[in-house]
Amino acid sequence: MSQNFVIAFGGTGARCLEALLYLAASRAISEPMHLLLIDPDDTNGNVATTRNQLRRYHDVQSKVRRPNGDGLNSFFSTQLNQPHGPASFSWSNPQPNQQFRQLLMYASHSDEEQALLNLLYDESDLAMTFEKGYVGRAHIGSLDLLRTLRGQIESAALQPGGDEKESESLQTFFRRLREATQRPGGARVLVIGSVFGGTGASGLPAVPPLLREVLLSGLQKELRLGCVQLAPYFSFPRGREEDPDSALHPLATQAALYHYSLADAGYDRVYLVGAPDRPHANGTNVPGGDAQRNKSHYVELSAALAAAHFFARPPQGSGEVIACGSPDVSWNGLPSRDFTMARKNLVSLTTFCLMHSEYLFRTLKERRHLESKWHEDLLASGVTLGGQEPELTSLEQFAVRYVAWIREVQQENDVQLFTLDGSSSTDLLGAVTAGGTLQDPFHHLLEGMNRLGRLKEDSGLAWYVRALTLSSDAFCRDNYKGWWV
Amino acid sequence: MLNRGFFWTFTAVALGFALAGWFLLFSAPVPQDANIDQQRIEEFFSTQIWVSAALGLVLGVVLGMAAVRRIRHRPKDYGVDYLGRVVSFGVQGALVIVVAVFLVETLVASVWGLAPLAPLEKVLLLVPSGLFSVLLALAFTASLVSYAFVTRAATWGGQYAVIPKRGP
Repeated sequence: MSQNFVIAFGGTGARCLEALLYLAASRAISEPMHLLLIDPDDTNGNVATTRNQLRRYHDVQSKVRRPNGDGLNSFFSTQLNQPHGPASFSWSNPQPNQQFRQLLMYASHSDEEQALLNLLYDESDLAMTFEKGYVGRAHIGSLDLLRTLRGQIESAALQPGGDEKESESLQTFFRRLREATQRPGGARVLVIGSVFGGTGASGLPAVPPLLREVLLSGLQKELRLGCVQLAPYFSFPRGREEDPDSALHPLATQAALYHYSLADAGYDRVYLVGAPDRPHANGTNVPGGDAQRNKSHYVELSAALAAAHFFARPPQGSGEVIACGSPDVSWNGLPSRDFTMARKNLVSLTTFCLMHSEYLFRTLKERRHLESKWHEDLLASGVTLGGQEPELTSLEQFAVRYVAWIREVQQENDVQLFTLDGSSSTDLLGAVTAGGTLQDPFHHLLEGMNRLGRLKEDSGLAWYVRALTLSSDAFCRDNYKGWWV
Repeated sequence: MLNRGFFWTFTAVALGFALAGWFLLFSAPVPQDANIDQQRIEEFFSTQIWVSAALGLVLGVVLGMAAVRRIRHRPKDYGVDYLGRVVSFGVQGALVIVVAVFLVETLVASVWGLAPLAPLEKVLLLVPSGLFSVLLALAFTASLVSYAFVTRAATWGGQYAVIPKRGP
């Protein structure tokens, strides 16, 4: 069986990875994956959000961990980066304060070489440090990423697996990838990044040659490589002269795509994803750091669905380019909607998350669940929720952010996916998307949990997640009869 | 307080009262005025005991169905609150059923063939009798039992309410 790997570059890659995480949480993707987020800007707000969500998912999934063959998997059962810890999800620059000049060892070069470097990089480039990533300067990032990745991949190629430290996420990733390519079925690697920014545009062309020529040098290459190239789909206000200018993104994209049309990038399949409009994703121009928390966008969901497509329908040849379009952003226009069952899975996950974050988590915290029917059944199943408060908190935080993500995605005028408004009424549980018919959704969801009786699970959290999953699925099936078939 | 134990204690007490009354009905007839047909009085109670039990059962089913539609889980509930509402609704509803059965049986008593008494005299003869309260106790018991079965079978998939059942 093939093993699936995803590398996401930069802030845009991080946001796509977040969407991919939600597809995994919802069971739209059920095969295990190994994810890696690469961004030199460790403090980037979007990166931090995704990293936090990945950690929370890992907390919950490590307790749930029960993908079974009965077609009734719980939410959070898709294995990500198992058996490694949450540190394996991301990599950031370990030397962000070093100037580019020092990384190039500028002073040690001859006069002629320095003259060449002066032609390629101006003084501000050479003085640049990477606390905030590459800040849209792909000509710097491509060299720095290539240098960093090459070093890590060479190291992974030389050493046997299994002895890497948990914190060495790049080493872990590439060793697992190397092992997977030597097994029957091989490996599938999908790379996600923007073609218009800094880190993504730098990373996309670097991966294929490094993997094929360095990591797998001299080995049988059971490897399928794909990438999701994101064209500009958002903008931000103009800032200072040295800050990134989103007005230049289309030009950068034009140049990058022109390059890719002439040169073989090394991918077996390329997904081109973009949007006709470029709304402001941030109120101010934030070149990086914690304040760079650009709003989520449906394009990131499309990129995640492209990943689902890549893993479910891997390329048979090479040089494939896939792009698709839709007159509106609706459930019936989503790519990969059939085999991911994105509508059912995401609507049910949203119901699950609302129920847990808005109601049940508070009930658990205030110990109001004691003596309720579902809790008596949980205890009768031989498990308990005691001692799993950190995981329940992670689940709550995950759910809160997921619901916020839903609200951000649906903010665009032409998006007809979810219908969540800002209210906190229990009616919202039954109005996640259009077509809800049942009254008293809170009652039905809790009643659904109460009906289940004993469930065979290994932990109280697994029991709880499974019970709420089954209840959410059953409720959504009854509530959205018009389209739930 | 409003839990399964309370519900079934209430039901058991009512059932005990009804059974004791039933025993009295057939073992120790109360002497009446010589002008009144003693056998017709006994016929009233031995007939109406089934009528009141049937009324209790039917109205208990209706009560259970009403519970299915009306009683709801609420976000701020404690674990026992929901079952408390089920029990409370059942007991209060059963008391209303007792009142309804009282009215029905009073009406039946007023038209019962007890010559030469007028309707009001018949009511004054039959209703104050201790045996009349047996009719009410039986209706009360029957309504609670049928309520319990309906809420178990219909409302909570056989898994909840005043008749607990564990396991799938």
